[in-house]
Amino acid sequence: MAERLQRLLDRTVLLFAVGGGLGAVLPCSLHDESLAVLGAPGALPAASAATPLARGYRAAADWLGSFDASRLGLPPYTAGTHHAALWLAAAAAGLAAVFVHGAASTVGISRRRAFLAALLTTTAPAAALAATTVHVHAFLLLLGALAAWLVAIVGTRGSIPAAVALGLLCGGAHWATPVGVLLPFGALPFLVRSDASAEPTVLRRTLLAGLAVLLHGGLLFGLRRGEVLADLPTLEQVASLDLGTLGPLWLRDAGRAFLPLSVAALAAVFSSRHHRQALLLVLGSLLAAVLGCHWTQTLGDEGSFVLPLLPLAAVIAARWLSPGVTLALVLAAAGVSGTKLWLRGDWSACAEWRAGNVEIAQDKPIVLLAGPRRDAAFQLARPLPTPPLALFPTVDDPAAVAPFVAALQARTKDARVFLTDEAEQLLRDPVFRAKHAAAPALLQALETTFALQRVTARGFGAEELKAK
Amino acid sequence: MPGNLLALARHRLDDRPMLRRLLPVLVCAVATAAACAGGEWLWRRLVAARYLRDRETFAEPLLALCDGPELYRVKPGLSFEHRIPRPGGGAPTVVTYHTDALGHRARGASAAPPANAAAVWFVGDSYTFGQGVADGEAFPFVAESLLRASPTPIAAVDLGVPGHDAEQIRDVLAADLAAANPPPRLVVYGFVVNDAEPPTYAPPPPAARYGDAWSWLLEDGKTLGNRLGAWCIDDRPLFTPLRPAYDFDYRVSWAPGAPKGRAALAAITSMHERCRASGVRFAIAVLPDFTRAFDATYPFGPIHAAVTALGRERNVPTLDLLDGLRGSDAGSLRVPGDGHPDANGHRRLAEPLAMHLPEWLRG
Repeated sequence: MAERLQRLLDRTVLLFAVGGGLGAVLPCSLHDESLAVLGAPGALPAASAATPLARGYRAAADWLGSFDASRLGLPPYTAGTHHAALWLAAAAAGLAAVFVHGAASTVGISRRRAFLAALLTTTAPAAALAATTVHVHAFLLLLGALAAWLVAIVGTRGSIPAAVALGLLCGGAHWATPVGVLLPFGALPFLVRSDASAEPTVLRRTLLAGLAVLLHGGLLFGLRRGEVLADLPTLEQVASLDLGTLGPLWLRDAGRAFLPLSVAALAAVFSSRHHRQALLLVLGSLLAAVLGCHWTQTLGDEGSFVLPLLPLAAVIAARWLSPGVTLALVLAAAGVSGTKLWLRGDWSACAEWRAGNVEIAQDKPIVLLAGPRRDAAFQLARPLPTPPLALFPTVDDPAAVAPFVAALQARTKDARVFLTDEAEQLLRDPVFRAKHAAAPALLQALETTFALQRVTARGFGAEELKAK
Repeated sequence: MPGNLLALARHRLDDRPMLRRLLPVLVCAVATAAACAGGEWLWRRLVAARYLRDRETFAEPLLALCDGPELYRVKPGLSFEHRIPRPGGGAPTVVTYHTDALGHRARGASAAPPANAAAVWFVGDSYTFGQGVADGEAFPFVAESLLRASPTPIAAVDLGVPGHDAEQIRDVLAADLAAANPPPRLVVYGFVVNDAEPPTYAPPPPAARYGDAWSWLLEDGKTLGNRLGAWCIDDRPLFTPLRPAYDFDYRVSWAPGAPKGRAALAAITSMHERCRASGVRFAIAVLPDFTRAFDATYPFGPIHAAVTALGRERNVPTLDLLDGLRGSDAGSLRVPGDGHPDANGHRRLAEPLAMHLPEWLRG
């Protein structure tokens, strides 16, 4: 009983330490796909943002972001969708740490090593990035950790309910996001070997694994109405990927994105005790690289596709290495992650943009005609009192240009109206003008209707549209 | 005798326990400082020696080093045969470049402009020079021949120097305007999307290369640090070198706030100011990259947009020549085995330019 309480305490501490720690460095990086996940108008359509997982994430962020704290008897406060989405990502990473701790404890390693395995998971650079970015990647990590925990229970106790839950989880995750197909691969090596004695037998474990695979396939078949392999590449598509693209992508997404844990996992291939698990892990990372290469059109995504395999790698390293070496890995990973977040974080640029807006406004209402990427991202992170006007859909509809400009003209009577640098650059960009039929007309109408006057303040630059 | 001195020093240190404890730290600090200073001195000597060697071994058949900030210019009185191998075999492209006594590209067989023609200088890099095409086929001379029979004929002077960036082009223009008598009526800057990238043909002097860096050793160490960072952490650079590196993805140099793009825009602004001070009109022709498809995949639209926006802001006539080429097959308009436009490509650049030159001359 005391041991159980201790473990519960460990996991609670992990949850708050990881979730709270990451919450402290928010907001972090914003990019086009993040905008697409949150459904910002005009953001580039992204395949991963259209999945059920992304839609569910957005719905949860919308609900949490609009929840008024006064309903709980607290001072009135609403976080906004962006902050809520970041909190959810951080919480998912914290929960993943809890499940990795659970999986490590279940396979029979000491409390100290289990704790280190959880820390190895959350300090991995790809995990830290996922936990501080508005995207579904943190939930992939959570699903991977949950699958690892369930499979550890199946592997050590031969539990039928855990096998059923595992099958349903993998099937559901695969339906919710194509990356879910990697969950069973990440979990499988736990079944190859556990620290438990001869019970349950290999036959029982194999049968339970078969049950899980059947449930995975069955659930997926039902949810997708037979389209089980819809998001997987064909053999021809895989064969068309060349090693010159795959090799560097694998080194970056499975190697660099998980340093130094990836080096430890690779070294474990040569250990006598863990080589089979580690070998499966390396093969799994290759599969993840191939699928990631296919889904992102050879771009990769800083290790996000390999995240379902991370819990297993952390448990292997914590079991194999001494606690001192593991702690050194955790500290090194924290250093790499911290540097990566510092390089990728754009909170200071965002703060400067917002401060520039406030400085220019001088207590007058302002209206921004803003771009769809950087401007939209900053607006999401630090919303202005008056939501900016987007270029879309006006730039696609020539008939909408005149009413749009007339509306802008009306706004100049009671507010200062600005055309941001990003929006202006897009309207002048020959490629953008070729893609969006009304862009040249809109720019011409703005230039003929208004006098454009250059304004800059801190991180914000724009042309003020003044009535002629 | 030294033994006695050492014994005396030990004796004195015994009397001062604090100094005795601090001595190792002091020795370590002094040794580190001396090693750093020595390393820095040695590195500077090596950099200087390498610069001198590079200057001595500089052997570009087309270019000659000069002492001005532009580093090099096209050799005056040149007759140079350039052979460009054709990929996949076949006869190579062979063109002969001739230059006048000032190192300006020769007009070739095309007829001399009429006496009343307005002098128009074209400044730029290899596109303006006409690398890969014969004398008289570069777009400045094609524009001149297109306007020969018009009411506003021009006399083109091609000041293009292959490999020059915007800052070198500014320096060429400043030096030549100061020496010009009479000055031209109009200067047209043929902007190319790689004009923000640093010069590659000739070595810049160490003082220009390291600028305000207080340590040349640390400055060069940043490149190594960034390479290590790319292996271990992220593609984004850990350190920002004072000396910019050549980026083949030119968009990086024009990202918001990027120093290279800012420097290029400042150089264009400076050209405009210099022309205005001399009473000369100034215009910009934005030339597209002929190694890319002229369709929706053309990647350097934001660079064209940034230069066009600068032109509008400063009231400088700016013509984006990509508009006239959209939908054309870029592959059929460039020199085989080379990224520069061929004679047809130059003609396609010159046609819209010739339509705007009279208006620019009139102001």
